[in-house]
Amino acid sequence: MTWDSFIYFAIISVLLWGSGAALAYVSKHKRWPALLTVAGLIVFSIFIAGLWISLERPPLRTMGETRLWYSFFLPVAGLLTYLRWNYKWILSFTTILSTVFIIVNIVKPDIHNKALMPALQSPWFAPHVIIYMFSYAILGAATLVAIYYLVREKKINNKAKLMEMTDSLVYAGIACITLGMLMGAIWAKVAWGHYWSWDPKETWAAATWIGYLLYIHYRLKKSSSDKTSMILLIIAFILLQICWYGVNYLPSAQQSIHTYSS
Amino acid sequence: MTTSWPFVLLCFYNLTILGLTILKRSTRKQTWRDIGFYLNHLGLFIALLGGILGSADMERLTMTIQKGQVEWRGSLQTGEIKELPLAIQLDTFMIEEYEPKLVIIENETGKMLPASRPESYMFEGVGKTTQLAGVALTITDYLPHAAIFRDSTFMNVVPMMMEGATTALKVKASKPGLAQPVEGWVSNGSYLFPPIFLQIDDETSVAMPMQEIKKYSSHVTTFTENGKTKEAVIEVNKPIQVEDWMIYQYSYDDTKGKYSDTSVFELVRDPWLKVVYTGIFMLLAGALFLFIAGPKKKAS
Repeated sequence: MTWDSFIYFAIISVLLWGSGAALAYVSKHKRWPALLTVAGLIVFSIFIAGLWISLERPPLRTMGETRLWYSFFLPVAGLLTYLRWNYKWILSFTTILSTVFIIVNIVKPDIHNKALMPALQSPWFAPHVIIYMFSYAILGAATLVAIYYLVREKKINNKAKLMEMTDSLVYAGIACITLGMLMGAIWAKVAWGHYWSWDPKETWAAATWIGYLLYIHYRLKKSSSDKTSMILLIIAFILLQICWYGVNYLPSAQQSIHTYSS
Repeated sequence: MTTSWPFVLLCFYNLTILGLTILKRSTRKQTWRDIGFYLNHLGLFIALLGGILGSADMERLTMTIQKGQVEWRGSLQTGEIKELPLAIQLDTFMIEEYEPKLVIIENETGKMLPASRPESYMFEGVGKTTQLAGVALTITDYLPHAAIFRDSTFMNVVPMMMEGATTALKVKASKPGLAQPVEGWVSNGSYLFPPIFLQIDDETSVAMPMQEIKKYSSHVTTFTENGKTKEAVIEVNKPIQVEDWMIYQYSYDDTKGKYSDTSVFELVRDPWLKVVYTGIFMLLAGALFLFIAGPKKKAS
């Protein structure tokens, strides 16, 4: 399976996710939206598995390949949030964001080949990147909630419940970011001789991490304002975007040992 | 930057705050949620402390060894040479490459085509065909070890198992507007042979970029001062440990590519590593705790 067949899998997945998200607004039971979302995820994961086999390496090296995982994990994060917190709008938000990344991959695919440089040939490679992509998706969902809050602030009835959900997403997200970062540190010791090299990607990863820590610690304050918390979340997500791909456009990326997209 | 005074003070300030917060928390009544607090905060404190002390005490050197030679001197980043309590003998050095690739280039600039998104084709076997930047290519022959003989009018590519041999692919190229297909050898050359391009027309040629490295490894014998010897293989992502030193595969002589007979190692000694790892594993456990326990429910 190659990128040429991606569009077909993507269309089927997006249709399934979209109908699941639409059903979430009308259906009384959570079963059908959940089943449709899961069906979409299965179709999408068949493509990832096929690509993995045809590339003979984990499809995690290029930006396009990380976008692929992100598009996959967003509906996962949306589904978990939907099942746990009953917000019917979250599935449509994650579906739309996932579709954006799918479109980017269709319009502007990277050069994909089988080569995997020696530094990436490690058992740490897959868990390090996958857990990061999963955390980016969860924190993406948290950002969607923050935007939703800031846009509709006056119309939200149960703010406490929404804040509780946001906290849950951020805790899960930062737990995964921490796991990804520390796995990266252990791997870096094995691959590059040191667990922390102040590589631009590492520095921005630390900035992102601190951004979400700020949110968590600010929320623990008794007098914290919900609005400020949500703004903090959006700033942290901007840091996350710089860390993920923005850093490639910064001059410091010229020396980065984290750029692998030829 | 990391050695500047503001940075060191900032680290010290952070450590102090973290330490005081941990002390303050330990005086109040403890609950099960405090396990997560200590794992995360004490873990970070320990990892930071070990990292700061480690960055002062750590030693990092590179060592360049030729095949068959023994070396016990390493060079610091400053260029200073230092003698080490261990010696390494390079027995063999090997490089494995991926299959060769073909690209279409613009004759004038040498840039890969299409300019907006360069395409490449990785060799999969003789007889295969592909489309690259609007050019139809058929691979008609493959020589993994080739020698190239040429003068101003004549070129011959022959199989030859020799040091410095290059990779060559014979391809037939056709594209719309071309009267008949062109056929010829394409090679990326080596330190002995210059590369060969197959010119399609006035604008474009077929070229073979340098092959990507799949794996490089050094077979070594290490000697320590107390007389211990050890044979080992060092690869990227597979360092070995000799006493306090971690030995990493770092580089090789890239001017000779796969015929490099020189291997470069990095040797690292960090006496605080165990402390840092203690902190890292506490933080890993703390992250799992956060993931499972989630935020504290607010009494509303």
